[in-house]
Amino acid sequence: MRAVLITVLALAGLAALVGDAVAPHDPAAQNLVLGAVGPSADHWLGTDELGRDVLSRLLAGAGSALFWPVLVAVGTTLLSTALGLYAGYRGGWVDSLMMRVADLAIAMPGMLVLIVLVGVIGGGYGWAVLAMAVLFTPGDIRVVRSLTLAQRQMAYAEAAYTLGLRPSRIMFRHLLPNLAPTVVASALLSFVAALVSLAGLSFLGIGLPAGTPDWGLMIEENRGLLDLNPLASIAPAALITVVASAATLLGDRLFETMSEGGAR
Amino acid sequence: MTSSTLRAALAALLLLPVAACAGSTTQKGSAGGTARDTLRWASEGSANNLDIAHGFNGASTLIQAAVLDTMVALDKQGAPAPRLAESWTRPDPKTYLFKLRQGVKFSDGTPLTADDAAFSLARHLDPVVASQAAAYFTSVKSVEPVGADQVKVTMKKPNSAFLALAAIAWQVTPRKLAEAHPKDLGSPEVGTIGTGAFKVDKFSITSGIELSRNPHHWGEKPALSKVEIKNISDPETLRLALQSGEMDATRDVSPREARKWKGMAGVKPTFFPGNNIAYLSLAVGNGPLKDVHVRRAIAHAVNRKAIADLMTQGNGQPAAVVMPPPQVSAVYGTAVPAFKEYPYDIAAAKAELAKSAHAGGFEMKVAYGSTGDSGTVMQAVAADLAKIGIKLTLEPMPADKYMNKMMEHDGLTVQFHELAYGTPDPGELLPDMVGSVAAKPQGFNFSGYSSPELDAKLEDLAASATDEEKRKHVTDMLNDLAEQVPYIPLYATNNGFALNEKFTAEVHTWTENIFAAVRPAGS
Repeated sequence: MRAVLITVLALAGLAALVGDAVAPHDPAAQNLVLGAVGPSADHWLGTDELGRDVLSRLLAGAGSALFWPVLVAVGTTLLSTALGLYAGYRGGWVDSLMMRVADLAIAMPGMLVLIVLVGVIGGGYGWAVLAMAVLFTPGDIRVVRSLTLAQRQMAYAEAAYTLGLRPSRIMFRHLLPNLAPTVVASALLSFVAALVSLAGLSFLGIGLPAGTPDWGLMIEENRGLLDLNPLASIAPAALITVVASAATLLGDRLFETMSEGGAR
Repeated sequence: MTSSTLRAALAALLLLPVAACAGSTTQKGSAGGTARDTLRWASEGSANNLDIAHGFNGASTLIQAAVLDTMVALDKQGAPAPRLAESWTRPDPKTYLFKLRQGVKFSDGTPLTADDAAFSLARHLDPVVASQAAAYFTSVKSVEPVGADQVKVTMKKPNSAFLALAAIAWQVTPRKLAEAHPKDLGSPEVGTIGTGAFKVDKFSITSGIELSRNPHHWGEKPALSKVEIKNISDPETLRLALQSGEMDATRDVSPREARKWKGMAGVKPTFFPGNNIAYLSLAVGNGPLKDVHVRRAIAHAVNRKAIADLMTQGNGQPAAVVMPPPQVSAVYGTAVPAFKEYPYDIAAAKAELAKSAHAGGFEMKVAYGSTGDSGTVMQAVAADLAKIGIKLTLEPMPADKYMNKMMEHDGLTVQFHELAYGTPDPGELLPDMVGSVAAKPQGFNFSGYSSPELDAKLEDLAASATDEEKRKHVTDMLNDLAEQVPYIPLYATNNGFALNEKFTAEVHTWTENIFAAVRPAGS
């Protein structure tokens, strides 16, 4: 099962890296006379309203669809791990302050904040990604912090403290490896959440210019073509679902495996 | 009017079906237990105000036309016709004298007076009212009742479009009510009273509107006894509501989606010429667009027929001039002059561009509203212009933000517009296209193309005493636009209207009160 999940994600990653180059047609090339048609030998997944090849746009859109969520996941993971570890290790007023700030951030409706930020204020897709990383971080901080509180009570941590090791060494060399299963699983969940949220923003027509090959945007642009070429919107939706499911399940598997390894 | 949305809305209103309405029978039966003469109407937008002064948009004017009579009507050819004014005279070019129809009562039973009619127009000139229809009546100097049954309108200067504009916006309400509510007449809290075929029973911006037959209406009794209007903002949900029989009718039928409506059992879609025009404006004061050769190159490079076919799906036509086809017909009949055109020709486009200071092409940012047809059209235009080295960077914006930006004339470059108009008179459109006043913020001249000579032409057009004069001035201006290319006409769409087969209606471009045009089938 794990091999299947890794293969799915690897293929998606490969498409993100070389999809544009291997696309059978120019993903931007229009043929207004052809318009939206179903699958054919020349267009395996048919074309959209502007006569663009759907398969080529899916391949070219993989980069946009996956790169930004990876960036969000990496940013969220680094930030939440560092802050959660610190809050859990230090405790006291630092912990209380950080948790109250996290509570406040968690209470904010994330998608609404993104829509306001990108749609109303403007600022482009980059700001949406940054905002998403910031909005996802508080939840993960809480998770890491609670695990750190638990690990801090463990004998190995007490020993390290008694030996007078530097706090940074205790946190990153001793506590962090024991949090790894959760951190890795959270990173994959952040990736999934970002993938779906950014596709949602694109679907709402916010952030990316019309015509950009992007899975979320393709669903929005082609949803009126279900009677002419259903694959034009179903294919990107299916890809989002498959990649998100694979990442979620892989995160689950990795958590179990790493937890079992740690227990042994 | 204050925005293209409002104008589009108005146009939509005026493009709907009319039918000869005779008497009706009220029978129980049919789907959902609704009466046979009750129409359930679905609308993508919700009416915000039942007074044109504060609700000059399609969803609102749809209801206004059913409830409020105007002094003048438009007949099937779009010519001014009697309504509350049973006749009028024009003693001199600056004066109109309207004779009020006798025996007319408002829906509350109070009689209509000349004072009501005069005040209903004069209030649009009052800055306190801040009427959205004020721009229609800038040429009006004064309005006064004359005796018990006449209204005198004095113009600052002759305006040949006045009667057509009055047919749209001179809605008559009781003076007492309008005077007491200068700013909130027509709101859900205040409501409105008119002499129209229907009266308002319920008005909620969120939950909908209910109308019933006005027992005091002076004219032909409508066949429907009741109309229930419900807002369904998603087009697909709206279509399914008609398909399932939950709703009976809508005018929110996009020509691009016609294929979906045509196959629906029990629902009949109808398309008829729309008084609208879709075009590109080129901001003549902005960078490379200052150069007429660049503008002509763009005109040659844009495949207008392909875009027209894509956007109308056969329910419309490519546009040769920046004027809705019904207005072109009203001015020229079938003898339309041959205006200079720029056929799709990449070689010719490159040759024109070579004559400019931007022979190698250039890049330009183009903002557009991320809803509606703009994204699709601008993608097609960008692909065409890329062939001659002009790279458009498309920047999507939420519709409201884009509209504000446009109305502020902020950063205009190449913009796509779909505007609809209410009358067949070019005096409604051309000031938007070439007027210096409209070239300022809040105006509709998005190209910024104007000159003292064109302003003088507009004055001459307004003062035209004959159709021949009007034709000459319109032709001069259209020739000028064809030569200087501040606009690239793209297409005009038909208007769509879908009706459950339990009802029938006759539809034409100038129908105002659509509900009066619908009748139960077989009645």
